[in-house]
Amino acid sequence: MIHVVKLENRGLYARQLEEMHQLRKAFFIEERGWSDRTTRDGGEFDDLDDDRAVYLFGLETDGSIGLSARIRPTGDKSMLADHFPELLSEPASEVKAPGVWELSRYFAAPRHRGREGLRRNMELRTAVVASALQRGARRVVAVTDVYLMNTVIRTGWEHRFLGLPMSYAHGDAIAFDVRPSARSVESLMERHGLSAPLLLEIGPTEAENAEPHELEVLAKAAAVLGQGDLRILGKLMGRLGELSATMSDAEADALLQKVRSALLS
Amino acid sequence: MTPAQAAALEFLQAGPAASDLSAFQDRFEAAIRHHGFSRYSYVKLAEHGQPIVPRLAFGRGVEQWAAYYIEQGFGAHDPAMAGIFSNTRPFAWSEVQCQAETPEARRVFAEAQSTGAREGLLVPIHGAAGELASVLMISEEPGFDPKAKTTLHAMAMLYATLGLPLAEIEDDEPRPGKLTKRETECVHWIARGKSDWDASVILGISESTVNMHIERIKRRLGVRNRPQMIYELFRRGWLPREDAY
Repeated sequence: MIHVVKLENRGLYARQLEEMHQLRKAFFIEERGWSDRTTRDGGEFDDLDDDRAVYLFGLETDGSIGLSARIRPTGDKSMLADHFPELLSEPASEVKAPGVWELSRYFAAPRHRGREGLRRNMELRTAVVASALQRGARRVVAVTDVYLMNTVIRTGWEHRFLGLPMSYAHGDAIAFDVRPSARSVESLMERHGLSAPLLLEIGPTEAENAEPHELEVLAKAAAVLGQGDLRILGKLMGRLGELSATMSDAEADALLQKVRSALLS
Repeated sequence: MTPAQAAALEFLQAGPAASDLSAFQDRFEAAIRHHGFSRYSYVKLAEHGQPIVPRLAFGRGVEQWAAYYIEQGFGAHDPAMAGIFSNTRPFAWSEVQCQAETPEARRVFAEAQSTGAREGLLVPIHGAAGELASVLMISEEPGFDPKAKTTLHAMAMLYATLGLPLAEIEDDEPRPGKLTKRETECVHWIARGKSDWDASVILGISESTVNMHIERIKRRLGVRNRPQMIYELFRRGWLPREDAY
């Protein structure tokens, strides 16, 4: 599942937002050599990290960031239209328009790269389309390195390259756009073997007693269990919690293992 | 915009609409000829991060040279081959020829030039799952405008990524009125809940080829999604049996 982090629920993701900026510094500045970027508090920031930015996080089971991307409406500012207009064969005003969003700062932690990371990357790329669609986007624009064009194509987005590529300080770049549609989301989910629900958008007051990654587990269970089953599961978990409160971690793990074995046998 | 730039933009934006490999290669050739390139190929070099015996997958005008190159084992001496494994950006023969320090390496360039080739541009194609391939564009003219390298890079990326499924899909065995051999194989795995990527690994074809097969079946059956496709295949009695292949 991909967590949708917007202005209203950022308070629930303070730890992940700090880690995201740190990982962006590690990925874009230290690995890819974008030395001209702004850093503060050990992280990388730009002027699109404002109230209108929506972050998409794929979290690990411990709540840390596995993958991340940012989408943002382009009406007031846009990396592509403001900084790379030469990548466009259309007027930049077409990109800075209502209903156009921009994808940027996409990265995956090293453990999610290569073959092992394909499924989660495709989950995040599908979430880009699904979350933009939810926000009324008719078009999502982005800039990528030319050597990554094959990953854009193989994702299966309804995409189009927007102009000729150009060299920039750190490589060769090309612009593309993606057309979000319900049909496209359905097709991407089928193609990459993804299961619903794809997005988790937690309200600012919905996570008082749980961390976002813990709620993700609940959301996944809710997707496959009925209301009655969920109620029973909740009671069982409550009892297990009471029992494990008096146990060491090892004893709690052994108990959970015993329950799991009993259920699966 | 120059005619060469207009042709490149036309290929990048309209090239994907080509219905078969021949039409797609026509469009690619029309664009790269503006830069003096008239022969081209896509060669697979590694799978799952491991080098393989180079394999020409598709191209035009390079079949004989590719077969000779592989037969002679030129890859072991060719500095361009090492460059493909270590670069993400394209490079020209003329940029790596100075690294040909052994007689065997110099022979690779001499023999290439004896076929009429004056310059080659190599574009490494790195896949996310450790696949490596290269697109080679050959010119019978002495040089090309280095400012065009970025545009040629983008065109080669598109040629590689869309050309592979078009080439693989032509390497199929039609069965009129039913599913083809490859379609049968793809349906077998998709019906068992595999993703396109999973099926592609099992079948040894590209993920895009699996998707192209499935999309063609959906169109033929007039259905919207994969569950409907499976049901319709079942209804028509076309669903592959366990021992179908």
